[in-house]
Amino acid sequence: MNQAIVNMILVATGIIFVLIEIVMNLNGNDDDTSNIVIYKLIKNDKLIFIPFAIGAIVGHLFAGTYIPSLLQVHFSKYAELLAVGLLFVLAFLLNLLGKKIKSVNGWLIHLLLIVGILYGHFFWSMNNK
Amino acid sequence: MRNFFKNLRNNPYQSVKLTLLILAIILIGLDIYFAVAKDSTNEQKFPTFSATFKAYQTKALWFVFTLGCLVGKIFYNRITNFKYRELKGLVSIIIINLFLVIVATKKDLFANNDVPNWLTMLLFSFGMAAAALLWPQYKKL
Repeated sequence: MNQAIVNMILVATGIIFVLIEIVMNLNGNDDDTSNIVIYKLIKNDKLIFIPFAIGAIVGHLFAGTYIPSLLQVHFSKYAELLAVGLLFVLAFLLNLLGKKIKSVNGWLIHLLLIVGILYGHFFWSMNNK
Repeated sequence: MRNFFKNLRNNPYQSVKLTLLILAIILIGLDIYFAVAKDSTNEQKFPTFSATFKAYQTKALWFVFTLGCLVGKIFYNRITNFKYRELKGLVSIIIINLFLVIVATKKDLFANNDVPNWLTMLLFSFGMAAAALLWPQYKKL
């Protein structure tokens, strides 16, 4: 496996991200660092799938159950594909839902973050292969 | 390209949005390619990003903490009017990160390079708390 290439890609992404942040911090404009941009995207543009997706990635990487998930019990071979597909479908549905609601409050964001972490832990785990 | 750099100064919000979108699409696309690509012996050609994280789990303790900080910075951000407070927060988080890097150099810190879930989640939550408590965002009065 070509581990070194993947490592280089990750390091390059990290460096690009840090460079953008430094430029945005020093350009004299206050509300343009990426964390504020993402928060505004959630709050003003109502892209409420973002906290869910972040939570799912966190649950996938940092948690992850050791017992077989429901998807693995029922669709043993395609479980991982289904978990990722279901994540995209849920994100799309949340995007549609976000357009319907009037305003996004803090509780909804935190709830979606926690639901995302639970999804990553129970359905998209890497520890139960 | 020149327009992009001009926009970076005049309309930074839009250009950051665009850059983040492009980065996210590139990373997702690459990860899908890594998951699918097979070499001539029908083995997986590249490890996915999550497999890479799993392989370097002990060494990536600082990454867990940093990601916690970044997520906390999005959702639990506070505002300060003093530049030095933001810098102080950044320096303290870098010091914690250095500590985690040094801790991770110890040989066989975790058996089979298997960091327990509760520890990674705890580190992640500490990162969120550290971002919320120590690292406020500077804003002009």
